[in-house]
Amino acid sequence: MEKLNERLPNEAKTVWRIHGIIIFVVLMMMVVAYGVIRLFVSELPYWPIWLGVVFAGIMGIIHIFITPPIKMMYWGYELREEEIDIQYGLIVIRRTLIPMTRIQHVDTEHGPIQRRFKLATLSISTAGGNHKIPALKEATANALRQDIARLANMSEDEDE
Amino acid sequence: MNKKHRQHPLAIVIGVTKELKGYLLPLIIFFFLRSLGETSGSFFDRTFVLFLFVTIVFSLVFGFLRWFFFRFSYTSTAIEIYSGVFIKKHRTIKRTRIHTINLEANVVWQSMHLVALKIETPGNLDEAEVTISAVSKTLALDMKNTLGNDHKEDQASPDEQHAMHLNTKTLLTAGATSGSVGIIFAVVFALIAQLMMFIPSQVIEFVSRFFTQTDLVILLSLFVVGIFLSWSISIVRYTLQYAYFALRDTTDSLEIKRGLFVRRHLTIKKRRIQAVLIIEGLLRQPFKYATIQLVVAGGASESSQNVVIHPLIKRTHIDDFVNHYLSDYEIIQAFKPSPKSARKRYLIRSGFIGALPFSFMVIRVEFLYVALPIFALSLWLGYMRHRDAGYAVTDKAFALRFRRVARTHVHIPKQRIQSYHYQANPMQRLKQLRTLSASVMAAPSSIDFHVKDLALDDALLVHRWLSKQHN
Repeated sequence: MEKLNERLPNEAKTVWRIHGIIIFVVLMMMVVAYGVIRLFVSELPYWPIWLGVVFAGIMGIIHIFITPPIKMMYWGYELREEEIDIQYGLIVIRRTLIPMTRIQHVDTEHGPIQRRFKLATLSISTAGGNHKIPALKEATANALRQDIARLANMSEDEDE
Repeated sequence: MNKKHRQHPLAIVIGVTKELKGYLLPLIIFFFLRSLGETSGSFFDRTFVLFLFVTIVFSLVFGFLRWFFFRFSYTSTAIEIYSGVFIKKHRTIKRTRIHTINLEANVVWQSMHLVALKIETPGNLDEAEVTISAVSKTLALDMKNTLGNDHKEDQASPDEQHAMHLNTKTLLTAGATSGSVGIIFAVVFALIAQLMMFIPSQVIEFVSRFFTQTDLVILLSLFVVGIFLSWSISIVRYTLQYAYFALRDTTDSLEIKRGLFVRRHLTIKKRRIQAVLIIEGLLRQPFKYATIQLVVAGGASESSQNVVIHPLIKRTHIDDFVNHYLSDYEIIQAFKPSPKSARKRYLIRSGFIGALPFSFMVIRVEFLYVALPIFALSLWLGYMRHRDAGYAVTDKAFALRFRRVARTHVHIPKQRIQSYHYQANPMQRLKQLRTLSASVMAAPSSIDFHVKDLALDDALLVHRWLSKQHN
């Protein structure tokens, strides 16, 4: 598939990696919790610990090292006067075209981790569902939100 | 005008009550548990009081914070809403997208000169609506004036131009060929199997005396009775639903009346119509008959589901019918099919599920005789699905054709497409195939119509077609 001009900033990858680390830590904590319980209830088998560690390790590797660069590679978007063009994916790659006139509202939001990196998620709502561009630079996201609000308002040619 | 407003502090009360309502179920469970375990009463009571206390304090604090962080400002073009305690949300809703602004006030609110303001936008139910639960009446009226759409719902003129009625024969045929036979058959069969236990053994012996192979005959006769019964039920059910079906056309809306005991009366504004579906059921397609349905973007109150505007129409009459009642629509006949290279994928997809009954052979090898026809049928369905998959574009509309069981044509006017996307998994990328899909507004939430495994070039062609800036 051809690439779209606008890419996500490199911090996006970092944020995804941090999410991966959180997944890993949570899974490991579950393993540790099991281990602690096992100290008191000695009948419990030992193998779930190994299984848990392996599972956590695999999930960690996938979410920290493998998926962030792939997601980064495929993520792209383009804002044009009449439409927004988005492409993303991990295994299934999806390309979406949203005509500007269909857009109902645009939101930006950021969670605690995103805020630390000055990132924000832009979500675009149409009557046919929501579309999100995650982990944009906060300034970019705000600028996009304003641009889209302006463009969507101006191009009210058809429609009821 | 661009001042940021907060809600009236009384909105906190509403927020807190809403919050507390969410805890009602755990509370009930708690009470229930308490009534059961009378032994450890004091410990239980103490935790209960603590739980209650924490809950109330928590929701009070949260209610206040939510109120504190909820601010809004409005101009003549848009309303902006800032909200969120931990995750900040900033939403802009354009004036042109606002469907209705409703002001509501109960007795208490009235006495305080407050109103609740509800802004509805068409589309997904959860996100599309904004409720400002308490603002002063003057502010609300000002908002309504600056933001409200001034066009009034024009009264439907009562000139009865065209009316369509169904005759009894068509109605019965429609009932007999409706796809619900299969589902009802399953229910009836299950019921009969249950009832079998109550049939006295003498009766079975008496019946089977005439035949040699008892088991097979009983199964076979059950089958025949089952089919007959379910067919009758489905006809009756259908007839009750669609009796006295009448379609009437006024200048800006379509009116449908139907039903024998439960009379239904539906008015569909023509400008709310999003797409037209032509559905050819398995039993109808061979006789060249189809059903026409509409996808209508409705308010929350409208019933869900697509609206049937013709239960049974001859394929050759579809053009006339659509021209007559839906003059903005054109029915496209020339579909570009899915490429040959996709056939294998279609066969595998259907065949995989069709092959599942083979696993019953682990129990008894004889299941082969059941599994084999099912497998063959699934392959045939896969073949048909591939043959029927296709798309078409004209200047004004996008059409998709696909088959689950019934063959379905979807016609979407260009300006009704909310978004278009195409996607591919690695296997599809290898074969240069794409799944095309278009989403449209519908009653409870949007619908995504999609066709699997069309050629990449076609996916790009539709993309360029919808895009105003050729890329």
